[in-house]
Amino acid sequence: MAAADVPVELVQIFREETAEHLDGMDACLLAVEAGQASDQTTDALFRHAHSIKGGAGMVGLREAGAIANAIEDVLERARASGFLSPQLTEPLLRATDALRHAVAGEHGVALAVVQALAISASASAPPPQRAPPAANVTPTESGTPANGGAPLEGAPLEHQTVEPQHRAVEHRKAGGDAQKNDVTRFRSIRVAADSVDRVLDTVSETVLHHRRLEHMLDGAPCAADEAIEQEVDRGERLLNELQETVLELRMVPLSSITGPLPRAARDLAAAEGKQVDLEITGAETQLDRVLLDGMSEAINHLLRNAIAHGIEPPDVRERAGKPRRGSLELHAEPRGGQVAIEVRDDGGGVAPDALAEGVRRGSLVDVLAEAGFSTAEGVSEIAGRGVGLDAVKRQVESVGGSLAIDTEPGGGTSTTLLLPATLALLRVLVVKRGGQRFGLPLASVTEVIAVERVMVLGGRSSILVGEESLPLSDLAPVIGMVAPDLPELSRALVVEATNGRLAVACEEAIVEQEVVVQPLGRSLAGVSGYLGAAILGDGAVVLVLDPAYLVRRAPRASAAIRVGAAAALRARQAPKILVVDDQFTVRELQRSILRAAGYRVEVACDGREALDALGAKADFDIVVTDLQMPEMDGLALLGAIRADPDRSSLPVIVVTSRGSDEDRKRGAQAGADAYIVKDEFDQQALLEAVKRLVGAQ
Amino acid sequence: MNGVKIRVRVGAEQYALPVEHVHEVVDLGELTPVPGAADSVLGLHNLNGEIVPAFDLARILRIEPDGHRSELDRSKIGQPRLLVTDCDGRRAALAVDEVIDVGPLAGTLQESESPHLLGSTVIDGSMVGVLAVDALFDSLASEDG
Repeated sequence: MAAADVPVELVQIFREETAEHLDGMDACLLAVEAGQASDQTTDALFRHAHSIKGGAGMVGLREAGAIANAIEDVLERARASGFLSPQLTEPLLRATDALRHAVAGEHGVALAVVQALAISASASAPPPQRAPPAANVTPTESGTPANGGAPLEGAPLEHQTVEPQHRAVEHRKAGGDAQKNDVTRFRSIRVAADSVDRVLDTVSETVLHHRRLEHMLDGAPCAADEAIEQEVDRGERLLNELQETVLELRMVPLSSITGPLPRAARDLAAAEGKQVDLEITGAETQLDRVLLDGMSEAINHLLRNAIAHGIEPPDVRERAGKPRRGSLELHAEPRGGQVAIEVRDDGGGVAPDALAEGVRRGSLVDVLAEAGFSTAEGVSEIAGRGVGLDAVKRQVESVGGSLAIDTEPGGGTSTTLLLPATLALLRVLVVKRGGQRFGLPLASVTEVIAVERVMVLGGRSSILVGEESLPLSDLAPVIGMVAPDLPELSRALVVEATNGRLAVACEEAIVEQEVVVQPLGRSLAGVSGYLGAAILGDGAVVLVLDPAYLVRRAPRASAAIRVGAAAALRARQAPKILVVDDQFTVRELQRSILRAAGYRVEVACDGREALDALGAKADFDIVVTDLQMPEMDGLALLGAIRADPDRSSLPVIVVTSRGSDEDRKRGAQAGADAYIVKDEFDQQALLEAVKRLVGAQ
Repeated sequence: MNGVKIRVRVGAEQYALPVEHVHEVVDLGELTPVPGAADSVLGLHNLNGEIVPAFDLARILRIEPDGHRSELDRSKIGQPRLLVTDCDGRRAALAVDEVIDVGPLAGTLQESESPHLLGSTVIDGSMVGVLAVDALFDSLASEDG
């Protein structure tokens, strides 16, 4: 137990630091064991042990201090002789384990370890050399007597009590012993993670509050004062800056969790009678701390799996012409707004029957995640069956990430976790289906296209995206929603996750927004398909769709897509509109609005030209015409259309600057289906009228 | 039966919840439906920025349609409400057709066979079921789509 008068925070800081020192020691010891140690390795080990000893003294953890002292003694002798025997790594590793326990507050762990160390140390004394006189040993390291006697009560602790405070800042620069730490140490502070979380929560709330404010200003009956708008804009810029800064505070490098991994890999491999080298690359890649906390377990599991099931025993490897030592790589890298973490082994790969099943079902991950399939013949103690992979998959998907497995029989397996870099705020595309709005993580949407060029084969729909044809599914059945058929001019979202790519159809894609995703909670734990829910700027709650679920689920849930009444056949050809107006600007404006909405458009300058066009091609679906035109005006054109038996039911929208009721009446009498006044012209009114009439055809 | 209870009407039946479980009573308002969820899930409610799932108490208690009610009664004189309810760190909103009153329950509690009830009592000639909130919450989680 720590001394009663030592502040709890200080003990906590000591524990965190010690964990880092112990990881550092483990790494050094593994290097010694592998015969890759240098003089600096022993020095580094010594420094770690020395720091732990000093700190333990300060916070009153006497047992920890005693173990560190005994380690220091062994290392001191090694330094003196210039040789650290690989035989010492095992007892030293055991000593670091004991230190972990002692630092956690356990009692009675020190004595046995200290004695074992003393015995091993004398047994593996360097063959040729005598230990030089103690007095010559420590010219630089202050106050550490090299007396081999290993006193259980660390007497000389007073000398080092200042030391840990320097180390507190220094520890991140592993091995960095430069003087500059004295200058820079006040530039960094340790802050409780909870405080950062609270700041971030508040900032996120403030961003949302700001958005509500903007929304209210937009909806205000009178236009807001320009000065107010400027201030609101300024507020938004400041908030963005604040938000980015706080998000950066939460980012930590992957290396903050990889420290214990090399040691863990060694121990696991030893337990399995295998030899494994773990290489960690890209450990400086930054991730949200909250996310990383959750992923630590997942990464551990993947490593365990790779060692137990992937890497073969040394003899098997030799027969297969591979090096006896298996190689395992943990690699991280930023990928767009996401972070990819890959675990790759050069083992035997996934069993062929599982692979075949994966091809059949379209997802190897799903096959392996189900209990019963395993890459190893037997079920080992360490990794069990595929049960764990299922947990990894759920963990990754719960944060909006995805999981992919790539394997080559005999050549190894690679598992990739694709994670969002941060959890706090998610950019979503707000889409609409069945009148309900949903959010879809923007990072997963590569394209939004009009639903046309739909092909149906074997009851399944596909859509051409560029040169490629992608399976197309209606969002509604995929998430178990009952909704009317998709209207014409629906939108297709090209969604990409690690498990594949597909197009999902919905009524429209509305807007992009940054949201805070809240989990659905335990009461809705059984509902799948959503990352959570979020509140939009207008206060409405939307569900946030899980891209990986859509990709996985869509092929099973959807039959041929049904668009409007005449379905796919017509969707291939967008409706064709004839725009009639004598004014160039009006004509071109209408043409561009309608084309942007996905319609095919032709134009005519007056009624006469319009009739010619209608006569030449019979495939127009609707006419949009001006009233006042030279040669033949709109009313005359309307009359001619209604009088022609082939075209009498062709919808006609009249657009004019004459807004009087009298005109409206004349238009209606002549058979106009809709009447839009130019003075109040807005493109939405035009599009809605066209949509209504073409849909009603 | 000790403690203050909120007495509610669900269809033609009456139930009571211990008031310490009820965080807030709010209007039904706009709920965002959750496709794929169980029938008892009415949707998601925005409670001052916190998203709370809302459940139809009638469906959880499996009150039959012949209790004069097939779905949540929004048209009648009674005010449909959401009881924002807490239990073991979980929060859910329970939709009821009307809040009748808040106060101590008269009468003695009689045992009930329903797993959702602590028991029942008789007030003004009507049976009132006293809800076991923890059991109720357990059945929320187990009812998935």
